[in-house]
Amino acid sequence: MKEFEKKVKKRIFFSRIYIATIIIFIILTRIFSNDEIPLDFISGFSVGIGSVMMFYMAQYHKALKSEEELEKLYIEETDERQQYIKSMIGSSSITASIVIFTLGMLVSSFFNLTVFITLLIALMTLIIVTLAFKIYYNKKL
Amino acid sequence: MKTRIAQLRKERKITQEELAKAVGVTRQTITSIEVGKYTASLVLAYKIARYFDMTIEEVFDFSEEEL
Repeated sequence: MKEFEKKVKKRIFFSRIYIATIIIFIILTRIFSNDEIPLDFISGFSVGIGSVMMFYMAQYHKALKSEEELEKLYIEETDERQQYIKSMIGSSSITASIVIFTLGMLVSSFFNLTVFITLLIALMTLIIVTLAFKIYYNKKL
Repeated sequence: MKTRIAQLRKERKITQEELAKAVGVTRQTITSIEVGKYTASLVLAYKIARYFDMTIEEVFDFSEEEL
């Protein structure tokens, strides 16, 4: 459990760094505003991720306060059924994404070349990354 | 897969929560195993069997599995 406690503390530390970076970034975007780059969108997106991180940070702080809560969090994270669900989500979402991208490519090829090429690049990247992980895990396990 | 976990728990007056905590999984995992939605890993099956002081075969029913 000590190892897990260290891990949780490390997560809080990195979350704090991320949130501090966002705050600095937002301040800088207010000083050096540029019409060409959609800074409002980028900062909005970063704040969204930061909010999720703050939610998890609150959960981690709560876990660090008592041994029982820490053990509960550890069980939730290492539960084998949850791990299995995660791996199922991973494989299903890859298959679904490939199908959606392929259909999107077929439809967009009639209307817009830029969208078609963008989807093609996204699809190729997804396939290459998936194959790379498949090779890696086949060798590792 | 069919199991005798629910029956053994009732006999020994153990809650799902207590069993889950003892073997290091969530209560939902124990529920899923009991109703046959999820098949426990070998390690978890061993932990559950050991918790009841029995063998894996005594807790888990392999008769309908293709061996």
